[in-house]
Amino acid sequence: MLVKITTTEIDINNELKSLQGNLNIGGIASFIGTVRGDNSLHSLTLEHYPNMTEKKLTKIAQIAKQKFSVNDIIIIHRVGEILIGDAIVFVGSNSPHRDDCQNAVAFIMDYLKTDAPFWKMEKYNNGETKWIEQKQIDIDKKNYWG
Amino acid sequence: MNILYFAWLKNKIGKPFDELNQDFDSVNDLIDYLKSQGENYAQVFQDKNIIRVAINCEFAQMSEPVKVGDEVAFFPPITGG
Repeated sequence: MLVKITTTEIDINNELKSLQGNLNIGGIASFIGTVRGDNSLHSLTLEHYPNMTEKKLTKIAQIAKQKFSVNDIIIIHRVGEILIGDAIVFVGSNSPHRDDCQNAVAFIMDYLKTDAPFWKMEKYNNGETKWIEQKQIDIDKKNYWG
Repeated sequence: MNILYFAWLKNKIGKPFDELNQDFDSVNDLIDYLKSQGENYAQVFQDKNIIRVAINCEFAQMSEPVKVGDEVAFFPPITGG
């Protein structure tokens, strides 16, 4: 299990490769959250609460490991300024059968969105900034898991 | 007690943390104290419904007590991922 906060670009290929290669792995699932661009957005800045973030992400990964038959879990979240198209978060998992790793990744993302203390600030091309507000759909998605 | 502020709360208060050598019967009481420390604090804590609190890195309720030695963090609802 790997939980990491980074200020540098996430090496997606490297992380996916590290989930391969065990005899008992039948599938690998991953989610990569990226900065969605539009005509006015320059970048996102991700702030976090370091002590609590690592603790919460580790807890979420541990719960996912108990809930689903997965072999391994990787959560890497970037902080600081992130440009359009770059990865904000990588969540990957591997398991003997595909349902478990796919569900584990979805579960982790739904919990991460509401329980891991990160905050996004949008920076626009005109220099203005705005903190993003939490969306009800993110709360609903977490509640889906009971 | 260390009191940490994140995201727009930190911007509006103008600093990332405060230190206090005092116990409070509840987070609500701590907020009332902070609101008396200046207009910027009063503005930030005007609507408690849009603020979340953690005590020693665990989500907490506004009714929970806080004491010297605790790390209390105030922040808006989470928007990571």
